[in-house]
Amino acid sequence: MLIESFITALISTLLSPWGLSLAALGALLGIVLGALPGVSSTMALAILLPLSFSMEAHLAILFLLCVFVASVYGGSISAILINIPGTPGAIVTQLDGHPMAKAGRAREALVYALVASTIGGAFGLGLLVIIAPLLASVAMSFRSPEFAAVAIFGLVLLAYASPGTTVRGLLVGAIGLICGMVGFDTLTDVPRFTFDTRLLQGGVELVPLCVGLFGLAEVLKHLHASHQAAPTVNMKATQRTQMKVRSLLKRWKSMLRGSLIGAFVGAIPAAGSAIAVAIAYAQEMRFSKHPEQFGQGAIEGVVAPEAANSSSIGGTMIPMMTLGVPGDAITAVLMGSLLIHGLRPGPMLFAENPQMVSSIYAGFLIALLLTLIIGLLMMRWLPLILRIPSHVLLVGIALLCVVGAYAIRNSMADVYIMLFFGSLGYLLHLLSLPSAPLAFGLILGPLLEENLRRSLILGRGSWDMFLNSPIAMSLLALSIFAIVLPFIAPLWVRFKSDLQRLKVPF
Amino acid sequence: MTTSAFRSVAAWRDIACGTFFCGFALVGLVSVVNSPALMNSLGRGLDPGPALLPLVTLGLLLTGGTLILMKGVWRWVKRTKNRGQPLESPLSEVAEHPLPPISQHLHAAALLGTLALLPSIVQWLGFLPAALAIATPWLFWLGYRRTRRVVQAALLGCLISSLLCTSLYVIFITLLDVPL
Repeated sequence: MLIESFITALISTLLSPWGLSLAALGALLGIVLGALPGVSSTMALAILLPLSFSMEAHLAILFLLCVFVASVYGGSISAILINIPGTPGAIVTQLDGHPMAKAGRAREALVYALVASTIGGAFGLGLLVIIAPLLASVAMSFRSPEFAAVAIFGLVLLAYASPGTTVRGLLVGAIGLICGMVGFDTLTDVPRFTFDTRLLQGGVELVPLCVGLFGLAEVLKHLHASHQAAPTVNMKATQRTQMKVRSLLKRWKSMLRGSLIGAFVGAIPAAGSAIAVAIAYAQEMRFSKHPEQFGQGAIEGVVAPEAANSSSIGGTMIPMMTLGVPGDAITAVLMGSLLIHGLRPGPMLFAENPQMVSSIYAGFLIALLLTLIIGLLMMRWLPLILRIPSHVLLVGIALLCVVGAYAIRNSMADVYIMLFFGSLGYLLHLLSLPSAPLAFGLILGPLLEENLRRSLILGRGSWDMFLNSPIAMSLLALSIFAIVLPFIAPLWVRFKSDLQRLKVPF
Repeated sequence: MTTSAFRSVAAWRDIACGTFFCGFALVGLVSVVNSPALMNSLGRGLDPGPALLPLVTLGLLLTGGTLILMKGVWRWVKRTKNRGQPLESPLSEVAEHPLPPISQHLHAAALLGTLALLPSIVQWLGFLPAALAIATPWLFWLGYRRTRRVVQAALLGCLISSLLCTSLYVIFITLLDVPL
C-alpha cells in the first residue's frame, strides 16, 4: 500500500513539468544558499518558506525538501573551497576537504562530498521509510498523558542539546511556550497575552517566528561585518579533472559507516547533524589504517562526515513525522510549512493522510537525485557563487523576510511579529542564549497544554493518569534526569577524583 | 581574555540574562493577573483552565531568571571586592571594557528601524518605490564601507536594488498575488 502510493507520488511528480521545475529550482537555490557562508540550512528554509504558501501542500513540501537536502550539500562547498563551513553540518568536512582543495583536488573533494551526500541521504530516507510507520503505529496507542509527556521530554531534550546551559535553553523554551499561548484559548475562547491589541489576537504563527528568528536575526548578526571581503576562489579550481568511478566505489565502507551514524544520531531529537558528523569523523579515524593522514586531505575525512550529514536528514524527520516533535531547528521550520497547509505531523498523519506521507518520501528521493544532478552540472561555476558580496545578500534577505512575513496571511501584524522575533533573536545572540528552543516551545506548547488539560479533565482533576502510564512516567523521569544531569555531573566527577585521591577502590 | 575579564563578562551577561527572563516573566504575570477572565478560570470545574500553564511557566521563568540574576550579582560583587588586587594579565584594558562596543550594534538597530518603517512606506508609496527607498541607501552604504568608492557604491547600489526589488515584485506580487 505504502510502496504503491510512494511510486504513484514519485511518478506523478516526475511527470509534472511544474513539480519538476519547482524541485529543480529548490535544489538550485539550496545549493547556492547553502554554499554561502552565514546562510545555514535553517535560514535558507526560513527565508524561502513564504514562497511555498501559495503552492499545493505536496508541491510545497517537495520544494522545501529540495532546498533542505541541497543546502546540506551546499554547506560543504564553502567548507572545501574557502575553509568556511556554509552550514554547521559541514564543520568537519573542511578539515580534509580544504587541504584537498589546496592540493589542487577541489573538484575531487566536491564530487566525493556530493556522492557521499546522496548515498547518505538515501540511507537516511530508507531508515525513515522503515522506522517511521513502526514508531507511528506505537504512537497511535498514546493517549493524552503520553503526548503531554512527549512534549515535555522533547522540549527538555531540545533545550539540553542547544548551545549553552540546559537551564537557559529551557527558560528560552518557556518563552516559546508563552508565545504559543498568545491569542484566544482554543477550549474557552479566553484571550491570553493580547494586551488588548488586535495585533496579537490572531496569536503568534510559527512561520513569522521562524522567519524572524532564523532569517532576520542572522542578517542582523552579520551586518556589521559585511564589509569584509570573502576569500576568492580561482575559477580553475573546480574544472574537470580525471576521476574514476572505481575510486568512488572503493569508499563504500566509509559512506556506509557515516550513513549509519548520521541516521541514528539524527533520529535522536536535538542531536542534529553537527554531532553526527563529529562522531562519524572520529569513528572514521579509528577505523582508518592511516589515521595520520586525517587533517591533511584524507578522502575518508570528507566522505564519512558528508554521508553522516545527509543521512541525519532522514533521522531528524523521524520524530517530527511520527510524534510531532521537531528533530532540530530545520525540521521545526519544515513543520511550519506542513502546519500552514493544515497538516499536523504526528501519528495521525499516517492514518489520515498516507498520501502526504508518501509524497514526503517521494519528494525526499527526488531532492536527493536532483541535488546530485544539479550539483554535478554546476560544479564548474561554484566559485562564482562564493563571489556574491555578503552585503547584497543580507539586504536581499532582509527584504525577503518582510515580504515573506506579510505573504503568510496578507497581514502587517505578521510583519511586526517577524520583526519582534528578529530583534529577539539578535538579543538572544548577544546574551549567548540559544534561539532554537523558542521555536520548539512554540511548536510543543499547544501539544503540551491541550494534552495536559485533557488528561486532567479525564482524570477528574487528579494526576493519577500520569502516574498510571509507564510511558509517561519514563519520559518524565528522563526529562528530570536531563535537567539535573548538568548539575550532578561535575559533583560526580569531583566525588570520583576525591575517592581516587584518597585511594579508595572504585 | 584574562580570567578577570572573563568573570566580568560572565557577571554582566548573567545579570542581563536574569533581567531579561525576569522582565519577560513579570510582563506576562501582569497580563495574566490583570485578566479577570483568566484568573476566574482557575480551580473551576474539571478543566484546570487557560491560566494554569501560563502561571506555571511564568513562575518557572521568574524563578530561573531570579537565580541567574543572583548568580550574576554575586559574581559582580566578588569581582568588585577583588578589584584592588593586581590582574593576572597585563591586558587590563580588556578587563575594564569587556563588553563589545555599542557601535557594533548600530547597523542592526538601524536596519530594524528602517524595516519597521517599510510597512508604512509601502501603504503610502506602494511596494516597489518603498522597497527601493529602503534597499538603495543600505546597499550604497554597505557597498561604500566595502570599497570606499562613492561613485561605484552608488551606481552598484542603484542597479542591485532595482534588480532585487523588481525580482521580489515579480515573484510575490505578480506571480504569487500577494496584495502589497
